[in-house]
Amino acid sequence: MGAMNRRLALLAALATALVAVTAATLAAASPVQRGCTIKGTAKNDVLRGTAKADVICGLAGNDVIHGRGGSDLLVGGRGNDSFFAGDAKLDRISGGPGKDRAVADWPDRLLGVERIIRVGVFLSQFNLRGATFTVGSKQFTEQIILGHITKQALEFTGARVNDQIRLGGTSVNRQALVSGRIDMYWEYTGTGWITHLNKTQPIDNARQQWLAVKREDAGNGITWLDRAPFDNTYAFAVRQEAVSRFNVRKISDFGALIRTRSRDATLCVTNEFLVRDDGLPGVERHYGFRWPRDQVAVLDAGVIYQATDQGRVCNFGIVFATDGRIEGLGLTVLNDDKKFFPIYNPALNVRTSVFQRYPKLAPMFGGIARALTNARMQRMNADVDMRGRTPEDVARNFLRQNKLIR
Amino acid sequence: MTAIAPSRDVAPGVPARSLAAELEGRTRFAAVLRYATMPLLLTGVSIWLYLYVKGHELDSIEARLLNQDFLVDKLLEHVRLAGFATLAVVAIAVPLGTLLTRPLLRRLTPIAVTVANIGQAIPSLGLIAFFPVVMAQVGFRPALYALVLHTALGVLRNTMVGLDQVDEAVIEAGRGMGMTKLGVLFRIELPLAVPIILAGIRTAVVLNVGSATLGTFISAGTLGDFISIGHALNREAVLITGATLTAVLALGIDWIAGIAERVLRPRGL
Repeated sequence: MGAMNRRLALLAALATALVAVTAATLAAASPVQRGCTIKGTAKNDVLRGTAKADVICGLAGNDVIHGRGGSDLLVGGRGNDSFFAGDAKLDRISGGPGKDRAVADWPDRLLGVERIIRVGVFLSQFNLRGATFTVGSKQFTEQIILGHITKQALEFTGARVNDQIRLGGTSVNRQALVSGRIDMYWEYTGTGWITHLNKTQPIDNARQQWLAVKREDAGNGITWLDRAPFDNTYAFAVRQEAVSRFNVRKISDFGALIRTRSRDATLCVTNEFLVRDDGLPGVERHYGFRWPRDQVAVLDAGVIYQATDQGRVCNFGIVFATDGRIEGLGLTVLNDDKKFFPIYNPALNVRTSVFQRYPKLAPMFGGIARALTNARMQRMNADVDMRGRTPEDVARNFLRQNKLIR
Repeated sequence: MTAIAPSRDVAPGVPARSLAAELEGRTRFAAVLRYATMPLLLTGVSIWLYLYVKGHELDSIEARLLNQDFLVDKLLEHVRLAGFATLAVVAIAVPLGTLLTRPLLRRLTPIAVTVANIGQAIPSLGLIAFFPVVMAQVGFRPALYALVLHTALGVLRNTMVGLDQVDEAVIEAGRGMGMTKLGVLFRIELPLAVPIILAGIRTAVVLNVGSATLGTFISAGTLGDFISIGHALNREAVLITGATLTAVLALGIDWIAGIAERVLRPRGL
């Protein structure tokens, strides 16, 4: 009898514990279940919200939940649920167990959703109202476009922007950034490494180069945000119609040209290319030829495109890989077949004191940088240089087409 | 309209004499000091520059620029460009200025002076950029033309002003003594105009030495290479070397021109 009683008591205790645990689990799993304005069943449901703020609970089963307008809270519960919350309102989504999928706006907060497709505009998740930033840039087209992208992105998040776009050359921008006259500008990893950090040997891996420059420049109070994928490196160009005449299609073909038809081996370079390790001295060492110096004309970077196209001063020119005039003037870029030229990925340089106050700048410009591919940058440069559009327009177009701003 | 005044290396009231005469005089010590100050200063600056570069650890970019071969190369390019430009200016502007002050062309003088004033107002950088475009060529020749056009006008103006300020009475006197017009020009007018013409040439040569640095932008080399590359790549030692050498060269040539001016100035003036 005593044993029987003991077993009963044990069973009762076990049952009580089980109920308690189950209740606790349920409560924990859906703390808002009681506040649900729209509730599904334990089976597969299709639930639609209203234009107001709803709390929709799918419960178990493979549910399909549409948030529709209003800042909703969508709770999927057990099962493989699908959420649709791309309504440009700030929604919260909890997927719960199972393989869940969601279409959501950039600012929406998602938890336990396995596949997310973001819709709407990326920058709507950031709010920099009340902040003021001074944006600088160098004076060539690509930099002016990057400057306007930065300005418009910041303005979209509510910040005020003091426009110092086209401030000056590389060293002017750098000095202005260090001294606090500007808060940010886009710099290239290779330039940061060689010009600002006074190194001579570039690093041939894009990510390693970025990490190295980021690490070393931190000591100067400069924070390098994420790099963009486009690479504005040096390239040799020649006018298309002359490619077959000179029979030069890759850099290693120069050796033969210099040996056999040295009169045609005329080259336009910028003055710094003549002395940089990642310039002509490096090319010559890497490819094993020596360009006769009396066949080299030293010109301003902007003039070289025209000169190379005309072919009077020089048949070959040093150009920047993303410049729109390559396409616009019909220049052919020679293949760097022995992989000499270093990588010049741009990244927004922000003064560290500014960055510490607004750390959100990192994910914000990380998202923008990701969208800056070689093809897109080239097209934007050509839009300005060849098709006469303004950098402001081109920048706005980029931000809109890539769903960064509205 | 003002002409560039002849330089006054002499204290006011001291009659200007030839260099030799002056050196023999009681002011000998003061004169030596006066003439020696500039070269001493320039030597001092050059030594400082040498020590500065020597004490600086050169990276591979700086080493490609701050070596003897490259320095001499650029210095020669610079002197060649500024020198030829000055010679051309003297050869063109002095005869032209003389011609424009002859009675037959006298009416053109005000026009020429106005044009000369405007010409000098064009920035030299603009001229440097202009010639490669119209000539479809870069290097020494367009740079030379740009410098000549920029500085010729100053010499032209000084030549005309110098000849204009010669007292009519002196010319009349010469004619009265039976001198030909050409004789009056060469024996009276030009000698009396020499100080002003020389002052113009001296200004031109200094301007040429300074402006030659702009040749770097159109493939004419010169010491400007150090300045522009030093700036572009943030290599201070390179930039300072280019700027200092240009300044030393300009001041040194100005000093020589100052002495030449004294020596060539007709006695009794």
